[in-house]
Amino acid sequence: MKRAVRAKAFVAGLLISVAAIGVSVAQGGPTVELEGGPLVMRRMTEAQYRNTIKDIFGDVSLGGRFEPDARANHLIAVGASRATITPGGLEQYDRMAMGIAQQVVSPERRDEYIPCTPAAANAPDDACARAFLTRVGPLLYRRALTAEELDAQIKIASVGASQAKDFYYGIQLSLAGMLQSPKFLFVHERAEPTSDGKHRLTAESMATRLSLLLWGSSPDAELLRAAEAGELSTQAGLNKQVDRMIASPRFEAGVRAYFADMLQLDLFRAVSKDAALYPNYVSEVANQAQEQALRTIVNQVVKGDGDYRKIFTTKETFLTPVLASAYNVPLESKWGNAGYWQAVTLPDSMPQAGVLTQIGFAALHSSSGKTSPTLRGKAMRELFMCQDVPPPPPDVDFSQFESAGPNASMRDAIEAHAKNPACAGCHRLMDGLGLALENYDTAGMFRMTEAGGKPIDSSGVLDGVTFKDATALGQAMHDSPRVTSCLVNRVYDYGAGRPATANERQWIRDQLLKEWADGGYKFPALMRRIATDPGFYRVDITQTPTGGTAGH
Amino acid sequence: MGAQERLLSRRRVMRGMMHGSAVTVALPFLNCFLDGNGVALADGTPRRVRFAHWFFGNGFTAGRKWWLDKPGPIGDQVLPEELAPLESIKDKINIISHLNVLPDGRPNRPHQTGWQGFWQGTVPSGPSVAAPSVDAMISEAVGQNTRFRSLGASCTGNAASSVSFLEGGVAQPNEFSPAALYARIFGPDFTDPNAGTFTPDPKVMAKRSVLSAIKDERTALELDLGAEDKKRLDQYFTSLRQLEQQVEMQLTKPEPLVACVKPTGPDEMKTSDQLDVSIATHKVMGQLLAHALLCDQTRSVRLMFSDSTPNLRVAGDSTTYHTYTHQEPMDGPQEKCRFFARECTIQMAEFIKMLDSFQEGDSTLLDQTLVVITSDNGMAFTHSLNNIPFLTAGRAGGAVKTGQYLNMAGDPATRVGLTAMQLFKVPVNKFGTDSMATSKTISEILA
Repeated sequence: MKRAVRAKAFVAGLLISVAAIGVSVAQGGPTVELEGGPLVMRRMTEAQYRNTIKDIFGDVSLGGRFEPDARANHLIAVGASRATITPGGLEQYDRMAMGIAQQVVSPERRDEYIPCTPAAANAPDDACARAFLTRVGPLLYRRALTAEELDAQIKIASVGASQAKDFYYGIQLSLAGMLQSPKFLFVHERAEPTSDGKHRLTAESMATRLSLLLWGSSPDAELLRAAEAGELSTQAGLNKQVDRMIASPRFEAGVRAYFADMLQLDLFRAVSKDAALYPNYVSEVANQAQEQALRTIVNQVVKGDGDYRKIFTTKETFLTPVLASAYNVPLESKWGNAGYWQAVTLPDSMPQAGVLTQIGFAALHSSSGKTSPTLRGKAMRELFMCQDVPPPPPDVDFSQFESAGPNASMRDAIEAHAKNPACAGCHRLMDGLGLALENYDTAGMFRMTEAGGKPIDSSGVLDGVTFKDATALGQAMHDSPRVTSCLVNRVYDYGAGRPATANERQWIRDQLLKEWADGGYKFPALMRRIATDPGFYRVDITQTPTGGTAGH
Repeated sequence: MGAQERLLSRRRVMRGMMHGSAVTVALPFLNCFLDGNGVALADGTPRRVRFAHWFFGNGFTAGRKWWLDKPGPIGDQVLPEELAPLESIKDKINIISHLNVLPDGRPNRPHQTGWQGFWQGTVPSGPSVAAPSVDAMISEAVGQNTRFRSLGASCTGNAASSVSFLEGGVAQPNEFSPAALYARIFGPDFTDPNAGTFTPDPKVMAKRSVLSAIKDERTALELDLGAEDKKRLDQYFTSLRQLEQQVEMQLTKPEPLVACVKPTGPDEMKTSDQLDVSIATHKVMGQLLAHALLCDQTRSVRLMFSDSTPNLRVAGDSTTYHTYTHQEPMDGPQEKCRFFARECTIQMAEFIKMLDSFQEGDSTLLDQTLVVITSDNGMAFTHSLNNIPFLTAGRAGGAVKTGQYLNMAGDPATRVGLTAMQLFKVPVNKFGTDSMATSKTISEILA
C-alpha cells in the first residue's frame, strides 16, 4: 500500500518536474487563473525610443549615442526593469533631445507638428504653446498631462522664447525638456484596485504595456483615447484595440522589435571577424544580415501563414546584392543600389534553410577567427529552448585540445569536452548542436570542408531526435516542444517586462501553450491571446520586482 | 577618519622638518593641491592633480616573473623581460607585486572576480557587486568642479566592457568611438579657457529652467516606487545634477589654462580588437583624454587598452590572445602569450610617456597625475586571483614617490584602491568587505 502511494507520488513529482522544464504535458483539470505579478519601472530601450520618436516625429536624426541596454533573463525588455541612467547617458539623452526638438521646430517641419502660428515669431505665445503641448505631450508621457504639467511646460516655452527672442526656441526647449524627463525615459507602471479587492494596471499603464508588446513603441493617440475613456477595461474594448493594433503597419515593427531582442542582434556591435581570413565579412554584411533575419521572420510569421516553427525551415528569405555575393547566390539584381532587398526562394540545391543557417545567427554566436560550436550550441539552448547553461569553471585546461593535432576536425578537437566527465555535463547540451552548423564558417558562409580539407560531419542528436545536417536540425527545432514552449514563455516575459511568476508560468504551460498549439503556432495569435487576456494586466502588489514579497 | 590619517599627516610634517629646505614647499604643496584648490605655480599655472586608471586584460605571461627580487628603490636594477618596455621610465613608476583577491570560498568568475574584488572591494556570491568602483569614488571627490566627473574610453570598440561602477554598482560604459569622444569633449559645448572673450549664451541660460523643472518632478515620481526602483530614479537625478553643473560651467568664464590646446578632431576610425587597430585607437583615445585633463574638462580618466577577457588578435590568426592563454602550456615557450603580454606592456609605456610629453607649468602632466595600472588576474591560464599585477605611474603632484618596487606578501589588493582614494581625499579609512577589507594604505609610495 505504502509503496504504491510512494510510487504514485514519485510519478506525479516526475510529471510536475518534466512540465516544469517547459515540455508540455496534456493536463486535465481546472484552468489556471492569472494572478498577476509585480509592477515594474522600465527604462525605455533604444529600440523603443527610436520607434517612439519615429512614430511621433517621423524621420528625424537622433545625433547621439544610447547608453547600452542591459539584458536580464536573455531579454533587453526585462533588463530594462533594472536599468538606470548614468551621467554620461543623460548627457546623450540631453543632446538627442535638443537635436530632435530643433528639427521639429525647424521651418521645414514645424507646420506639421505645431498646429498654430504664434502672434509674433520673436516672443512667447502661451496659447499656441498650449495647443502644441496638448497635442504632443500625451504622446511623450503616454498619458494626458495634468494641468500643473501643462502650465510648467508653457512657462518653460515662455522663458525660452523671451530669452532667445524666438517663439520656436521656446517650443524647442520645452520639448527637449520633456524628451529627457523621467516621465518619458522611464515607463512607470501603476496599479489601481479592482472591485474584487485585487489590483490591475491603470488604463494608461495597460495602454503602454500593449503598445510596447505589439508595436515596440509608445501608444498612439487613439489608444490613449480608448484608455482614458475606460474602454480597455471591457473585453470588447480591449479586443477592439488589440485587433486594430495587430492590423496596423506598426505591428510589423513590433514583431521585428521582439525578434531583434530575442535573437540578441544588438550583440553584432561587438562582433568582428578577421579581415584577412574573412575579407567578405564587411560591416555592411553584418548590418544586412540582421535585416535579413528580421525580414525572413516577419515574412513568415506576419505576412505568411504565421506558423512560428517555420522560421527554422523556411527557404524564403531576402537578399541584397551584397548579401547575395556573401552567400554566393546568383541574384537577378538591379545592380546599382547595394541595399536593395529582393524576396528570394532558395532552391533545394542550396543547403540554407531557416534562421540558424543565416549569417544573422551563424556569425553572431561565433568567434572572430574560427567557428565556435560551443557558443552556437549555447545560443541555441538559451535563445530558442530557454535552457540556461552554467558558466565554465575558472581553471579549465585548454591544452587538452591541442592533443587532437593541428589538422583535427573541429568535431575531434572538442571531443575532449565529451570525454572529460567534468566538462561533459554542460557541453553535451551545446556542442552537438553547434557542430551541426559546422558547414557554416564563422562568417556564416557555407563550406563543404573545413580547414585542412576535411569533409564536415554535421550530424547529431537534439533531445533524442537524430539529424544528419543543419537542414535536418532546423526540422528538429521545428518539431521540438521545447522550442515552442520557450517562445511562449519568452514572449510573455517580454510583454511583462519581467520574468513570469510561478503562477504565470503555470498558466502559460497549461493554457496558453496548449491553445497556441491547437491553433497551429501562429505568432500573431499568440500576441493577441496574451494581449487580450485581462489576467495579463493583473497586478500583485505584495510582490517586488525581484520576485520576493514585500514586507517579508 | 582615524589614526591612520593623522599618522600620515604627522609623518609628512616630520619629513618636511627633517629635510630642512623642503619644508616651505612640501606642506602647503601636499595639502592644498589634493583639495583641488588650484594653488598656483611660479608661472601662475594652477596645480590640478589627476587620476587615471589604465587597464589591460590577462596580466603578464603566466608563470613568468615580472617582479624584482629586492623590495625598495628600483635604482639600477634591470627590469625583468616581462616589464622590459618600461625600462626607460622605471624611475617614474612603482611596481607592486603579490597582491591577492581573496574570494572566501565564493565562485571565481573568470575575468570578473579579480577586478570586482580589488576595484569594487567585494567578491560577490552572485554575478554583480552593488558598490562603486575606486575610480568612481575618486571621480566624485575630484570632479565636482569640472565639466565631466570622469571620462572613460575603450580601445577595442566595446562600450559595455567597463570596470567602472557608480554608486549601487551602476555600470559606467566607456566611449568606444574616438570621433564621438572628441565631439563630446571638444564639440559645440566646449568653452575654450584661453579664448579671451566670453559671453554666456542666453539659450544655454534658458536651459537652466528646463533642468530645474525636471528636478521639481522628483517628489511626485518617487511616491509610489519600491526601494530598488527609487534607487534607480535617484541615479537619474544624480545624473541630472551633473547635467546642471555642466550648464553652469558653460555659463561661467573659465580660468585660462596655458597648457590647454584644443586638439583637432580625429577622423572616423574603425575600432576592433584586432591588435594593430586597438593600438591605433589607444593612441588617439589616450591623447584625447590627456587633452581633456589639460583643459580641465575632467580630472579623472579611465582607459581600457584591452577588455578583461582580451580578445586581442593578430590579423590573419584565427586564435585570440585569450584563447592562447588557455592553450599554450605554462611550462612551454608560450610564444603567443608573451607576444601579446609584451604588446600590452608596450602600450602601457606609451601611455605613460605620452602623459609625460605634455608640459604643464614647470612639470609634466604625468607629474601631476596618479596613474593606477591594473589587470584582472594573476595567471591567465587558471584565472588565478593571486599576485595580480599592479603598477602606478606619475607623482600625483609630488604626493607619490616613484621608482619603487614593493612585495605585498599576499595582502588584499584593495590596498591599492584605498591608497589612491585617500590620496584624493575620498573620505574612507577602510575599503573592501570580508577578506578584502583593509585599512592599510601603501605608505611606502607616499612622499
